[in-house]
Amino acid sequence: MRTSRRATVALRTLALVYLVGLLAVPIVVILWRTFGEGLGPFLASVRTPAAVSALNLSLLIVAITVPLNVVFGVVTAIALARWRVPFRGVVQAVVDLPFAVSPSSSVSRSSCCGASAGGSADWSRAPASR
Amino acid sequence: MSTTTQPVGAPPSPAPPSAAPARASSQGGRRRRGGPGGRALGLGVVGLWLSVMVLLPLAALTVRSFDDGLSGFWGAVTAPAALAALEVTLGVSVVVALVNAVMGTLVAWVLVRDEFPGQRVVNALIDLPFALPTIVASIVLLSLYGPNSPVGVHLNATRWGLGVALAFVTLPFVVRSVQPVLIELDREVEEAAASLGASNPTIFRRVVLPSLAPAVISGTGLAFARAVGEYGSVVLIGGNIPRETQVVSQYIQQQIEIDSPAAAAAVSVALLSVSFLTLFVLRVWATLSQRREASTA
Repeated sequence: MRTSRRATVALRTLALVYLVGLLAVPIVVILWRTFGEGLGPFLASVRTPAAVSALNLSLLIVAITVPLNVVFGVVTAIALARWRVPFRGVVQAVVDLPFAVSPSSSVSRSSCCGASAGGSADWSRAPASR
Repeated sequence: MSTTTQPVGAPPSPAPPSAAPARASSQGGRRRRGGPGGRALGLGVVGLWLSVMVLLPLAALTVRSFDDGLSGFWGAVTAPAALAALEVTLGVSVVVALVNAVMGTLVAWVLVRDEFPGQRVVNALIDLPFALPTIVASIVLLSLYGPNSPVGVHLNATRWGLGVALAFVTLPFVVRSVQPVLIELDREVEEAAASLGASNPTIFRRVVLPSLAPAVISGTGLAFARAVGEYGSVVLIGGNIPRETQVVSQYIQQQIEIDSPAAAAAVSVALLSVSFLTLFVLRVWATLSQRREASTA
């Protein structure tokens, strides 16, 4: 399909305006806020012990979850694409389901499990931020 | 025999020797590995993984939501504030998903079919909302469109603000699902249509769109599901005004804070059912249109 020059430019402009407004401007604002006062304050706030330990924890969790997801995700993808899976539609929707679970309800459901497993039943008073 | 299911580290299950070679020869040798035994093992692993990671926690959530019985569940879901939150969430999410369907397809089209300087940068930018913590997105949007907006646009505590935040977070879904399909699309069919006198809108509607439809539908479904459950990006810019801009995730959070976990769980279950149904219907629809496409092609 060959679009005319004008149509091409119009489509391009429309897409770029949307992306600039939605993506580029907010990202420039982040960068500007981060480095607005130079590299020194940025490094200082990244190097605080709390920030370092938070970063370490994030990296650790990533190192655990990503390999797990790679292995099981690939097996799941092979199963869904190649094999006859009973209730394929339901299984695919279940795979998508974590997208739909809001983070605040995942707090309540993990605490559900904790309570049923004899864990911290008094979760509602735990100092959770969300 | 089965090498595809070996990484899980289980001992290879003995496949009936007669079945595997027959399958291998009928499938062209290397295409489809794994005898019935390996496949059963793989299915078991998938089932177990999905059950432990997704179904079990959701089952626990569902049990919790019926702590106060059926009437308690129904009362929690139909509380006026809960209904209002559901309405706000679903309304804004539907609009955002539709905007995504159109603009995401357009962006994918421009990225694949167009050529302009800086295209690669734009392409790389698309994934940023995934990489950014959503609360950061919220802070940025608030500083950009909040009370001290440098551009003079005030969207905080309005549904427009919710919409912008959700559109930001869900941008990659449609683009990234449509893009590969568009790259793989056979352009000769379009040229054939053009040589037969079809106009561009006709070609797009009759030739391009049917091939893209499954990708657009599934991307839109994911965007919708994500928008429905989104918390971090709307928590600041949304304003959390009950019946105006309070989304369900914030309502759930509020229920947890006032120590009514059963109500929180009940509303979560209601929301999840809506999302699950939407995803399921969209998946079935995408599969059907894919099949129709395959049978006509």
